[in-house]
Amino acid sequence: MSTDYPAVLIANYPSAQWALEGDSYDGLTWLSDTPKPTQAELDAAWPAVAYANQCATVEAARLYAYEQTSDPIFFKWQRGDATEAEWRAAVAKVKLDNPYPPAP
Amino acid sequence: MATPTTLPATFVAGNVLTAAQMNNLRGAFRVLQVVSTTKTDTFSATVAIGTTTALTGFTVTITPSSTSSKILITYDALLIWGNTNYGMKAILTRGGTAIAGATGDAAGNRTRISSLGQNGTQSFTFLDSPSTTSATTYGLIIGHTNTNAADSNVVYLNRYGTDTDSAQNGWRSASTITAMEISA
Repeated sequence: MSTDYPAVLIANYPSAQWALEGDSYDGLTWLSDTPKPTQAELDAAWPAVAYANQCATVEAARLYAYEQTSDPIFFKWQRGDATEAEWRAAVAKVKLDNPYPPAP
Repeated sequence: MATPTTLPATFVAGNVLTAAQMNNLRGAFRVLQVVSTTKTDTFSATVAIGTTTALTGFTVTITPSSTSSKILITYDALLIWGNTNYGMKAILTRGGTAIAGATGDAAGNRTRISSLGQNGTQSFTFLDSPSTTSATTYGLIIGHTNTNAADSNVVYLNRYGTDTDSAQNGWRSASTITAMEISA
């Protein structure tokens, strides 16, 4: 997977100003006073950034799924209309359906 | 469009046009040239709150054949702000400067823009009167409506913020800006 330079810059250089024409490092114009990171530095940082972004995507998917499936069961459980086991099973299914990616 | 002055104001039965008038008529009401740029790669840039940036690589240059010619500009640009639905502002420029007539009226400190949209394709059409026969470049400057300083404030063309191969975010688009010279 090639480096998503904007993603790395957002994650690791949040205060920097830059513009990127196209997808390759050659198109990167550095507008900040700080030193421009090298391509090697950005490429090296990419796996960790990609993993964090993938985890964030999983978190968002789980959040949506909780709202749609397990949260209603939780409130039913609070009212005595469902069991804690049913709620925990629904939560476990959400996690099973939306697994985290393997760490880099 | 103006009627060529060598033509009669009205035609009546029996009128016969001269060759000069026919040539004049031939040149009237028509598209003299079309120039278009389709940007198929991406553009990404940080844009501080309340500022704009030039959309590099998304320009079109046309050299009018007459100072009286009109230039019809259209653009379709897929503009994205980060990963959420803040507004993306676009301003049509000539020679790198906003065309006042292609933006909304001045009102207080409100930003005068040509088009605005939430993550998606923006379309706009404007008939310009550059009054020149010099090469004239049209383009866009872009900004966003986000005001949260904690956000990354990165804008994109032709890609989503989270750029992956997933079904949700795995796409790339093309954007086009076109200039047509219309005879006066």
